[in-house]
Amino acid sequence: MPTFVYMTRCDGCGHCVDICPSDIMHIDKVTRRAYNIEPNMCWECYSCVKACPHQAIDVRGYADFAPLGHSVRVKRDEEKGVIAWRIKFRNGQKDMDLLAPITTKPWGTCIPQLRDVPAPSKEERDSELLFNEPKYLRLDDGGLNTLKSNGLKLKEGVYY
Amino acid sequence: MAYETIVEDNIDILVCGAGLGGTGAAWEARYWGQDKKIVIAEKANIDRSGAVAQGLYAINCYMGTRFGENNPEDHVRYARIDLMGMVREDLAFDMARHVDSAVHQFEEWGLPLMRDPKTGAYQREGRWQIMIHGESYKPIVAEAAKKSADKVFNRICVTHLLMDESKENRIAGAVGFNVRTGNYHVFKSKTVIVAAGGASNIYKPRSVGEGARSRVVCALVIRLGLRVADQRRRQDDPDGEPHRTGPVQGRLRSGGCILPAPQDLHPELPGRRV
Ligand SMILES: Cc1cc2nc3c(=O)[nH]c(=O)nc-3n(C[C@H](O)[C@H](O)[C@H](O)COP(=O)(O)OP(=O)(O)OC[C@H]3O[C@@H](n4cnc5c(N)ncnc54)[C@H](O)[C@@H]3O)c2cc1C
Ligand code: SF4
Ligand code: SF4
Repeated sequence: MPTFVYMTRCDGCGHCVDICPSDIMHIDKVTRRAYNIEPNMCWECYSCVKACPHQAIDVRGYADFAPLGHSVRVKRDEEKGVIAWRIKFRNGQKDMDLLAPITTKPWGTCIPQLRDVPAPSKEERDSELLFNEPKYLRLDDGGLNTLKSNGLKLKEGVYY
Repeated sequence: MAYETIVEDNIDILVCGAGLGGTGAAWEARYWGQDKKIVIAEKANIDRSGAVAQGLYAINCYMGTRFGENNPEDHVRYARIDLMGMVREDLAFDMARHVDSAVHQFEEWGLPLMRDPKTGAYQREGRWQIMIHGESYKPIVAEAAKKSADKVFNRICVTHLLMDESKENRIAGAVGFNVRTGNYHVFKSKTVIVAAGGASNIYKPRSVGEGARSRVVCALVIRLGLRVADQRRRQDDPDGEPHRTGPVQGRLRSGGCILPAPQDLHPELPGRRV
């Protein structure tokens, strides 16, 4: 089911507009608040919900299994590298707090700039290897799997 | 309102669509073409675009050769039986033999992979799948792509690929429009990697009524008369989710990807031979 916006919390910052993969979060020209222009195209991906700095966006549950009275709220914290979900069931009893890591490394630090690493040699270029292979394939334990190394032969035609 | 025409020239490698595959392609291309001009044209925002935007809870396919779990040929056998023989075994093998190195790199980039406390290997769920905390899978791979590409054009929907008029059978780039402004964008490029979401279930050996892929790859390349290699399933996903494949499929793996297999594009593209 689609997203909707609590208008009193929204300040029209546009983060949701910027991130929505379906391009359906827009800012209303009159009220200057965000709204979902095409609810039936919503993917429920929660990208906008997580991007909103004011927790102004919510997602309706499916009417068949979550009719009224439940809530699924989320807070994604990039600094701490965690995401927290609060899931309240409509029976008023079950209430879950879930916490999960979203990354194990500080953002922007652990992905190398491949422009600056040593350039591939001619042998590497002519080989079947991808970047960091074979090291990263088995982490220094053997080379790239080939039919030959695995004792296999390509047979022609369909066989079972 | 007057629409502008915006031309981006002298591109060496253009990536059309940067989901998991396209972001990986930009990253890998930067290594093999360190001084090349790499440009991404993406319909949404690469921080949260494609089938992985919402985050994933697993990596559907990991061999685990490092832990003595599976070899690529085991996966080929699985896919072949699963699809009643209708697979390109060479593509399945190629995918399977490279997928582990992509996963090991993801771990290094910060993607939280779960470990089996007893064995120390990655936590399995079934034979092929490993479990992850994948909420930020896409932001993490997008970071790699943004680092690698010279320019990222978000919100550009590519509509056509261009062929070179002066040289037979030569790709020349792509055109599209900005979904927000309506401006027309022309990308002149020596190579084009199309990773805009593959197709599945064109033939249906097993499942009926499924098909979550966008099939944009096929729509774009079929008009150029390219052979689309395998429309049945995503070879790196043996878990009963038959979906994306396409001409780039032979070189696409979950997140890591390289230039299209040359035989599937055309002989003059500077792709590396499989
Ligand atoms: C709900 C769901 C859950 C899944 N769960 C898992 C899981 O747990 N584990 C797992 O391993 N796999 C999972 N998968 C599968 C996996 O996410 C996908 O197979 C994979 O992300 C596909 O990557 P791709 O790069 O081929 O395509 P996509 O990620 O779909 O990328 C295509 C990109 O092209 C862009 N695009 C499309 N058309 C155009 C155009 N005309 N011009 C420019 N850009 C364009 C799109 O915006 C998108 O960014 C899941 C898939 C779904 C849908
Ligand atoms: S849940 Fe996803 S598709 Fe729906 S409005 Fe938010 S970002 Fe867009
Ligand atoms: S991100 Fe939140 S506050 Fe900003 S426009 Fe969207 S709903 Fe409003």
